[in-house]
Amino acid sequence: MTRPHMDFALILRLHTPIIMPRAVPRLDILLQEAMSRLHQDWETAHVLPLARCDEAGVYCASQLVLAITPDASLTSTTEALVSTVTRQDLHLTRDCKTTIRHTGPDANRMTSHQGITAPFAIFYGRGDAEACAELMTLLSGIGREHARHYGAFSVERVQPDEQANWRLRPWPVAQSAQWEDTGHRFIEDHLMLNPCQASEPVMRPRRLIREVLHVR
Amino acid sequence: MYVKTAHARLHAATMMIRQDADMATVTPPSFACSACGRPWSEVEDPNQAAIYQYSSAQAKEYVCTACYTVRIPARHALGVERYSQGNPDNPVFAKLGMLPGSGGVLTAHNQLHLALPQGFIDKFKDGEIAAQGRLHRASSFDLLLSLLAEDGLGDMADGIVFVETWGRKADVLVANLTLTRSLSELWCCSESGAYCLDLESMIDSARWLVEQGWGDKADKPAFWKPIKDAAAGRRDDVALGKWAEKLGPDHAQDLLNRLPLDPYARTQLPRLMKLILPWVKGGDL
Repeated sequence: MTRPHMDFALILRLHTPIIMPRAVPRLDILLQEAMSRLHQDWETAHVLPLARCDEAGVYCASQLVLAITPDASLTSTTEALVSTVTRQDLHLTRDCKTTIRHTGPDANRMTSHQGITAPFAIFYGRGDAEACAELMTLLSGIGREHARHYGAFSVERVQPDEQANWRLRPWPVAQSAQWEDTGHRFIEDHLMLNPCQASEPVMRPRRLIREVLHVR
Repeated sequence: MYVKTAHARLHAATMMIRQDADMATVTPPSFACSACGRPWSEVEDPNQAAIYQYSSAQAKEYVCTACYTVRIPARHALGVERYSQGNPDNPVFAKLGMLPGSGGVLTAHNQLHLALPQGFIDKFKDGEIAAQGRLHRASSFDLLLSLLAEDGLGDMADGIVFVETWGRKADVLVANLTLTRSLSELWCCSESGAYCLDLESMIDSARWLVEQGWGDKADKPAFWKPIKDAAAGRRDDVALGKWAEKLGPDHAQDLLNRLPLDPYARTQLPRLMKLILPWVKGGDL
């Protein structure tokens, strides 16, 4: 059964700090990853349960918005993760009879990441809200080091959005009408507008958007 | 000049270093530069790789000319850093990737400015970069603020690169080199990686503080302690209440609305406001 499209806010409860990657996580990119895991196919740009903005040729899907409550605000954490860089072996083949191997040493590193702790995260979209929520459950986390449990979340709820906040996403530079009345400042960058496409000049919101969420 | 990546800016701003370099390039056998990860068709000198080998016991890595630049001895651009075992016949020339305690800015005009401690200034005073007046005895943030005050960064939308610390780990530095197109998202690149700061909000807050007469108090770390502690997860409602009372309730909210949203940036307020406020008080920013 095809559910009708609606403007929605997908609210996620965060359990661990988010380590923000270079490009701010976006709902359509995360859903693409979820679909890729579902189909075990990372080569195809899957059809997502989101509406498309035909003028700009992009999905109606916002970037990550961090939500605070009166009791819990944004805080900064420093996550120090041990990583080991193993230098590759050197193979010297003098002739077909002789192979000399030298095993490279490990270069141990303690890599520090800046994490942000927030009680909730919100993604806005237009499309099949329930399908988007179901797909998101296939992901283990958002942001960097998600395989090490950073950015872990659970889907809290889906609620209607009356302000078309899905527009808080990168847009082609020429499509200024799409973001001018969002009330947010947009800056230039070079990002991909759709999953599995090359990056191009865009106008995007600032990396950190914060909203106050009223918890029921 | 508009560039797509930070490495393109690095490449354009450091041509003088590569010109007198003994850098042989080969056709790379790999898919991408092993330092920045860009495919060979997208680098500035397509399909030209420089070979880097950490030591004779490790494998060769194929890096693009932009990423290799930080490893090139800058004989004429900088000069002699030291002599090997004190022997004047064996000079060791300075490299951008081996400048601990130093920073720099690559402007949109493709100019390389270096922020160096006095020891390096003395060593490199005869080099080409010094001759162009681009060696500065300042911290990296002070250099950035001075270039901003003099309108020397160029059009930010074209992209600048801010290197907070060149350091000694060139592979981490070039792998994380990030372009800045707006002061509201200043990428601070270093040998530890890159992080983002909202410098524009900090300057706006500094201007407001000076206008309200709080300029002298705000460059003390104690002024920012409640804000910094709250951002670090050690919120003290009593201290925050006293802080707000001191400023006045409306003024406190006004200031909080101007501060950067990023809690990590708020933890850096004591350090950075101390650098920004003198420029604002002097009317330069």
